Amino acid sequence: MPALVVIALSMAGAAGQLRVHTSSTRMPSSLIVGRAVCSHGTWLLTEHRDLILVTHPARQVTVQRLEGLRTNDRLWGLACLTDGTLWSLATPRVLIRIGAEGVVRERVELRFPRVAVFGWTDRLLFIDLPLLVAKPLLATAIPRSRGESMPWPRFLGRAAEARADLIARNLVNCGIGSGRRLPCWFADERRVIVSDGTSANTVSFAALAARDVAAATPIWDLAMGGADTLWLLASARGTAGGAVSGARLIKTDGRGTELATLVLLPSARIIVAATDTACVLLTVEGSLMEVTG
Amino acid sequence: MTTHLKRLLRHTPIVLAMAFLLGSSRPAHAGCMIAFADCAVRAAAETSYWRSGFATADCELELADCVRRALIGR
Repeated sequence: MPALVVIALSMAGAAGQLRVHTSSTRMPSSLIVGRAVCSHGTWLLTEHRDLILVTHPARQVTVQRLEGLRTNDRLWGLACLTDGTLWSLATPRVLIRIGAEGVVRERVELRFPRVAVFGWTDRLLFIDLPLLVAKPLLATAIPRSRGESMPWPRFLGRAAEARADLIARNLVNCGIGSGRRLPCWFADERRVIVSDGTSANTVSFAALAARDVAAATPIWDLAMGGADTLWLLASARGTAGGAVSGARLIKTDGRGTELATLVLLPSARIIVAATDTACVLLTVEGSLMEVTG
Repeated sequence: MTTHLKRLLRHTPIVLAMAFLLGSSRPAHAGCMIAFADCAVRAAAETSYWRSGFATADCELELADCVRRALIGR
């Protein structure tokens, strides 16, 4: 088990109030297809079947290969529920439960193809096909239920000129929540909807009006640090049309009012964990970066 | 079912593929559209209408997977 040693490399004072610590550990570089936050740590799942655990708060990193998949399985999504169980999609029609030791323990056939899955309390939050315009897009259900789902507030199917765009227009991503509250957003929108499954409020961010923000995916990631803190990872397209990544980290209050900002060097792929005073990021170089302030 | 109608139904996946390609211009998932068009053409070549329809549905799932990896994969 490779241990992570967090080293205070430098206090890069790009933001004044925010301080940076970078780890020496290198994580797998393959595409991250799912993230799930459990009580003891954050799990990341890659398309090459790497299952990564970053513990809270010690930042110990474990990388293991997910076992028990079938040849044609193509992983997507990751959810950790309040009972500690870990779930993902092996295919659009098969939900899998993953044991903590990194082995597939259960396969559940789904009634409808599923294109997204997240965790919320003891339920899965998901998008099923077909996508229906002006109808609830997201729903929650316990993992093995058949047909007993509850619609998630606010997200209604959006129309598109072409069917391919229908999928892109209705892709929703969710960040790291706090308690029962979970922030989610349409991939191309500049605001998030924070919901507890019943009520919801919209949070907009002035920082996303900047010109360098990637239009197709302005919110690269977002985490709730607690009752009144949000950590927003704003996207930016790489130089010469390079890959999009999280180029700026913005700390805001619960209404989206900017408190501090930090230009990230290197840029970040995803938020791993957050509290009111700290945000842990996985950088494009594979290191963990802790921003405090 | 008339021969004309059968022929029309057989070409439905190709028409759908063209609608995908002509109706979309987002570069982030442009490659997904090309892959989908290839898939839809193969689906249209299936030996029966129903086989063609099921194959087209699989093409749509592949498209959804490709688009989500392009847009929200990290």
